[in-house]
Amino acid sequence: MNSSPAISVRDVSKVYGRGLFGAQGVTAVDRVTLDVARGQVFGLLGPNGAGKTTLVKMLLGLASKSSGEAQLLGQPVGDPAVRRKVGYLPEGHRLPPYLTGVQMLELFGQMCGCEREWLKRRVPEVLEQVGMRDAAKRKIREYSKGMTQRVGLAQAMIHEPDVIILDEPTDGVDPVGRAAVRQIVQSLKERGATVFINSHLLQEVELVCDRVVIMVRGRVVREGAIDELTPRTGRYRFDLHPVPPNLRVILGDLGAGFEAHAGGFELQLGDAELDQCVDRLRAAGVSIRGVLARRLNLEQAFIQLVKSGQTGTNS
Amino acid sequence: MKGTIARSLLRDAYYQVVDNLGFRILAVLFLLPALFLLLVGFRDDGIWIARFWRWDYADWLPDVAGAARAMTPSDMSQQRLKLLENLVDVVLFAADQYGTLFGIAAIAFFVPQMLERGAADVVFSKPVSRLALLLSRYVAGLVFVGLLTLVLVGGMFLGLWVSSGYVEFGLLWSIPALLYSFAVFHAISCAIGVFTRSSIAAILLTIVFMPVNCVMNLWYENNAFDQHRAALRVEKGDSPRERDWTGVALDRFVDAYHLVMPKTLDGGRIAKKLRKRVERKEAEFVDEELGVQVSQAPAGFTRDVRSSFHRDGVVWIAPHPSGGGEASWRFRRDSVERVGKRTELVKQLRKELGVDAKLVTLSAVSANRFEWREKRGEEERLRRRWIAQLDDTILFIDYDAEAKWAEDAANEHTARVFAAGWSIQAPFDRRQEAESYEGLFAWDAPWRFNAALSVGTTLLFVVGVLALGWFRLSRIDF
Repeated sequence: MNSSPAISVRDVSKVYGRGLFGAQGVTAVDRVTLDVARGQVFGLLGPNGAGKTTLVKMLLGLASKSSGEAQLLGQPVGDPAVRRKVGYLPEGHRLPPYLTGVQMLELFGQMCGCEREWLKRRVPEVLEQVGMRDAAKRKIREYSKGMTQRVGLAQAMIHEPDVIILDEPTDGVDPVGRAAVRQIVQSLKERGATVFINSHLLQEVELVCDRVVIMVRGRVVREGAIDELTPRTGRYRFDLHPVPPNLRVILGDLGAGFEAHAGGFELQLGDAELDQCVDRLRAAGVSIRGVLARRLNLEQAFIQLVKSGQTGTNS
Repeated sequence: MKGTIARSLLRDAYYQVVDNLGFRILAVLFLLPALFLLLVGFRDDGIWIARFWRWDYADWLPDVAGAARAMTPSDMSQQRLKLLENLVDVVLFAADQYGTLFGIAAIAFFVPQMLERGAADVVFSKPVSRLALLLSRYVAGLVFVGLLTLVLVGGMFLGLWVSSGYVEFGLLWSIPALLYSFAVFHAISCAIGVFTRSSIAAILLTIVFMPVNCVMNLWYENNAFDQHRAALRVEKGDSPRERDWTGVALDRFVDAYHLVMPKTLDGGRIAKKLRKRVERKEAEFVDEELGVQVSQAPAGFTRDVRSSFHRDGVVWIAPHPSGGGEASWRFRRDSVERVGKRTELVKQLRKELGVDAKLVTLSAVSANRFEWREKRGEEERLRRRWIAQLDDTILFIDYDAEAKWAEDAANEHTARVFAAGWSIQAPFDRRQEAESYEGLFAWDAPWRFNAALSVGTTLLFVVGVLALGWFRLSRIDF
């Protein structure tokens, strides 16, 4: 197996509207460096205007780089041949309205170099996978937004690419469809494909991504695994049985921000205080059924980062 | 791999075309003349509708002072052919003028639609070069018009053949000719589409360019012909014409424009010439000098290989099955100087034979037609003679056959078909054609009138415009 990353970006920048005489343009992507390992499900997050889509477009040769180096599967981006191994679902895509779902998949498959015979077997499989088999022979112009999204996902997967880039894949898709998209991403991962997701739906990203990069104002402000991006808050949730009526007396002055709930309580504790808390409850004969260290969810972490990024504080 | 991609792009072009409402409307409109000619047959014996109902021409033609009823069967056949040729010319002219216009209007959105946000992201992220994608849209346009032209010209060709028995292979040259001018304007529309990414702009600017270019072409043609005549006058000893610098500069500008820009008017001219060439190639006999052409030998007759138009005339002979001699057609020329003018000849023959001549039209010239019978031994012969004058040349066409044999319906039909195939260009038309841009325009003409240069520079223009479009496209950030 090739050891080079599926996607490698080194100091890539994109400046729009740079004038002839060195006038300043708008920097959409500012010296971004990132690697996506093969077989990884990778999430790219950021507020509107962070430069996520521009970065993706540079990877696909849809936009030119102002500077830096980028490679896809070890080959420089911009070479049409490398795109044969890449599938792309753009945000707000418009598929050819004059084609039926089947015709579109066959044509795009052929554009990626797949033979017609192979596609005859592959097209029904992909349509089944995205739940579009019944509407496959209807013209795309007759599709609803959700159907267009599903068939758009199918066109990105039709040629079994090694890297698949999904820009807002669950946009306009109902909850059942979203679950299906998650399942598809999982199956792509199992097949060994690298999945690059660009999404606003942080819960979706949190559920499927192995690693995440957060971009703000064209720069990478945070990169890491989901666990690394969602730090512990210091709050602990205790599930007890039974809940003693004198719980506050047992805990005494331990911790802060006490909140009771049915079956237990939540409390802000330091590391040493956590042991004391457990000891006091046990000493009072209370049975502890579970202790959960609370973390920031990705959305909270993201909002924190974006806010600090917008005030100029990079992590 | 490249073959698979190319096939997919072609299929995409095809799907895009057949889904297009404009294409469907134009296809129906283009199918109408073909259906008309398939249903309505213009035959020697009248107009046939769906091969079931027949009307005599005399019932249809305007009968001014009994003129239609006085027409001979061969006149009628000539008129029939003229009618068919005119019908075809009118349809092709309309297709060239309006077909190109509507074609451009119907497909100018191909490129801008491909470049719209969302659509471009999908298509341009595929492993296909931008040049190939641009060319695929260009080819889609050619497929669009190619199919329509095939429907129109192919359909008319078949219709004329099946229903009217009129076969003209030269007509098929109209297919590349119609495609030629469309290919030019479509390239412009594609390039404008890339630069503006707007269908409206692509349509409007292309449609504005069409008449402007046409005017420039005509301007050049007038200039070129004027300069040609001026050069001839100088050759004859006249002093060269004095021109001020603005006139010279304007001429140079028009020349430069003509060299660089497309010469779409020449497309029709080339098709006409090629059509004529096919007709002449298939013709039984052609005399370029006089503009005389005989489309086919009379059925059952054989051309006497020793006969010559410039000596005693070209002769076709058929033996009579009864063994009573032979029938002959003779086509000959003589000079007015030697035999006198047509009017004198007609007067003289009328006196000799004691019969009146009918005034008829031979293709584009008027002629006098005599018909009489004469005894040759025991045999009665039917004689017909046409006399026409082309400037200082007299044309004679003689028919000589055993009367009974000639009056047989089948033989009379043969004679009529043969006579209908004569084409004689009026001297005025011939002079006018020769002394015009059109007459001088040829494959081996000097550069100002050279057809190869015209086609070559026009195709170069198309390549240049597409290259410009590709240059812009390669720099677009989607």
